Amino acid sequence: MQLNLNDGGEPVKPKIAVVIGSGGIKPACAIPLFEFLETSGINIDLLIGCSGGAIVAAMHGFGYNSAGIADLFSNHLTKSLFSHIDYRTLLGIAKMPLCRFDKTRGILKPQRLMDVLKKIFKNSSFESMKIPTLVQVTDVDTGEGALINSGDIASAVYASAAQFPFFPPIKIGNRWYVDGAYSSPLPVLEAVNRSYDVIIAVAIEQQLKTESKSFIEYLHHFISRSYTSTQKKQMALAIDMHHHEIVVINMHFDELINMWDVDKMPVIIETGRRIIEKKKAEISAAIENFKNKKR
Amino acid sequence: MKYELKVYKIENYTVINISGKIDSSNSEEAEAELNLMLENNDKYYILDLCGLEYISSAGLRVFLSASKKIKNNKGNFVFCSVSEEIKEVFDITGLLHVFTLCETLDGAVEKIKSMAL
Repeated sequence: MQLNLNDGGEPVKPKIAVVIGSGGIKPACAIPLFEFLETSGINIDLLIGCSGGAIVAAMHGFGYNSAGIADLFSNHLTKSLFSHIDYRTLLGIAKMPLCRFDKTRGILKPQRLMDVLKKIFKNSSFESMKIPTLVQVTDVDTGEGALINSGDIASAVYASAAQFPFFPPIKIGNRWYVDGAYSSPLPVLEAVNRSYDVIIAVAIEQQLKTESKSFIEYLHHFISRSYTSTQKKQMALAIDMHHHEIVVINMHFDELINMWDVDKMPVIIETGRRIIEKKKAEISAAIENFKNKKR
Repeated sequence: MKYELKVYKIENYTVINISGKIDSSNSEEAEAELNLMLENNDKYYILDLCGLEYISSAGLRVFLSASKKIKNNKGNFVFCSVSEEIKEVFDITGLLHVFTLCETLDGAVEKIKSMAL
């Protein structure tokens, strides 16, 4: 990006953060945003991701290009990752003899997902990220949100995406962490707190069926609605606290797309492309207005 | 970007008509102008958005600032004639349930009357 100089000779380029919210594999719809920013010469100074958004943010921060991210989703995040049931946990939930449920367990076994994430991030740590990246997680004991930006990338990304009690928490340091969406599904406030000037927030919205037909579906819908409610409250606060522009990109999906529906990746990316197209002028204006104010 | 604020009275209530586009290029100016209009002795206001075409997050802060100013004066306000596009912006930013919206100016007058009781 071309830098402009103010009277004091200081660069006036805004600090830009991209925040990608939770939503299974649907946050891959941010790929066209990365393409737009890259072709426009707009550098991202910080990436923040939550849950599925953390997977995408970390992939981009790690250095994967758009095609690479789409391929990783299509080839690695398959249904087999979500079908390895931990029957001992199920028996523990039912309080069967010799079986117990505790905070370290989940309904699904995490090893396949963890192996895939370790392969994707090549057992690397956050220090090797090409773009500074933060991953939103939730402390399972306190319910408080936390951000991880050091240590093993795969562990942090797993934690951010581990929707408890389906996936078990992971111990990082001396805390047990689960899905960041429980505390902050779209962690815009974290970018506001760090004084980023232009914040581009990718919110994922899934059209839900009005009636749920099973326990899992009901639970999933309830959790999704609860995330949306939390997200909106935090967004209102973020806008009130912020000093420049938060460009909210609402990625709406009419079609139900589950975490393992990787065959729908073209639909996800096309949806992102269509919506980003309408937001390009808004993003560019936010950056230009900042530069004009500082001239 | 350009915006316009017009102020007039209906049944002793102050109506501020806001039209055009508000973003970070003109939000400070819009905020100052709106604040001036709120510096009368009125407590109840109707913000008519029938001509508002676009608002960014910086523009939304103008409304949040006005809200604080009015409520600090123990008053209240409602929006009316909000387009579907602006309503969607209110919705995704969590402000739809913070603000009171009325479909029409007549409806807003009735609502503000009930608030003033």
